[in-house]
Amino acid sequence: MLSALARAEAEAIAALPPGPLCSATLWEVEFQTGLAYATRKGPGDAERAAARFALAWAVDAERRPLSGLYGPDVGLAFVQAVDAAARRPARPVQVEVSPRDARVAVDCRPLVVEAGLRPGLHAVRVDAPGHEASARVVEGETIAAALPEAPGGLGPWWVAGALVPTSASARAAVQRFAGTREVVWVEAADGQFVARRVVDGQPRRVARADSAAGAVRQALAEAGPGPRKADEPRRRTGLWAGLAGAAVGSLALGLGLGLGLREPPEARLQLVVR
Amino acid sequence: MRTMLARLGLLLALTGCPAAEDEEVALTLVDDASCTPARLTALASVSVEVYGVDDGALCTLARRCVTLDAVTTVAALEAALRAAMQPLIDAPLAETRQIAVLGHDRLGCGEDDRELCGFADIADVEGDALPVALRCGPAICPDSVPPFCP
Repeated sequence: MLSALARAEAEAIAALPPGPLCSATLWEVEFQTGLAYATRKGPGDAERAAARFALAWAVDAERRPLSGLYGPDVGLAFVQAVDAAARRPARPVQVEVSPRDARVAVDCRPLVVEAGLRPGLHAVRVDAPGHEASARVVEGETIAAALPEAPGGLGPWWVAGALVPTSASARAAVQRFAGTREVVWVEAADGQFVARRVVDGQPRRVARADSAAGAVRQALAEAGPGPRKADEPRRRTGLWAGLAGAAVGSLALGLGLGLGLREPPEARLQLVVR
Repeated sequence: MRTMLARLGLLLALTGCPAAEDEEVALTLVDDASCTPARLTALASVSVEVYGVDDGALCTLARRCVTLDAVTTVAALEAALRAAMQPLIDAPLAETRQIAVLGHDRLGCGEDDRELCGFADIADVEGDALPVALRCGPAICPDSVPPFCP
């Protein structure tokens, strides 16, 4: 049972970005893990159960076990674990991640370094565009992860809205994907569209217009003689500009679809014990 | 003096509790050949459920869920229920019709995972004991249980 819960925990942390669905799922997993330890009653299991209950509380501070379903003894053990965890003050958090702009989420929330972390278990997810994510439960206030580059396409980060020009990892990932071809980033800002033409990872031209297509045309039209080889047709740059422009629209569509189609959090855990 | 008065007050309060109206019923799980160690080991949680009646149909008055840790016998299952805080369920006696003991192969005592079940009518209480005959197997248990009472 505990091994199945450990698998569910790993999958939940890895698959779920910070947010309510992450909190709801991970709370249930940690609560059931705590229950499993409390039921096993082996050496140290009481402490392990308390640590898991505390982690459930860290994930969602408002949620409590259903007293009618699990009884007052479980509710009492949970509250005692929460009380003990709440007495431990937060400590400064040490973050050592690469790439440096990797996003760090702790207990289903974006990490706020200034707030520190309480001692105990924490669910940590570190991810960056173009890199394999790191997701695990750690103990303590040190978060360290060196993310290896991920082979393949950009789909997951595209859907997640992480391919933004302000992210160095995103720029590098897109450039790796594009190879030597030029890239035009398009984004909406201040009621206009901004197109940034990038060649070999270096920004070359920024243009603004009322439409994405207009901004892209300007970014390309105002471009001077760049390092592009004469035998590389401009329509190749245009193709990437079109793709980038489409990304802006499809990003919103994809996010909307993703948010709309995802299943609402379920209160009960769907685990099979074999 | 103040302490003595407080203790006397507590004593009076305790003796004044109307405990005679409560009826304590002890569940007795009755084994069945179908409940093999292999089937019992597959159980992750067990629920004790109390059903009443609403508008002519059964409804669930209360449900208690207890996590299991590799039980291989019905006696061990009973011990797991015994280890949980008592009473397992505190439900209105007059509304109670049936008691169910359902074994789930998943945690949390959810739906569509029942591999063990036993039902007993509250009228079958013998003394203060209610025997619940258990049967095991995927085709034995109902797919759904009564919804919670309004």
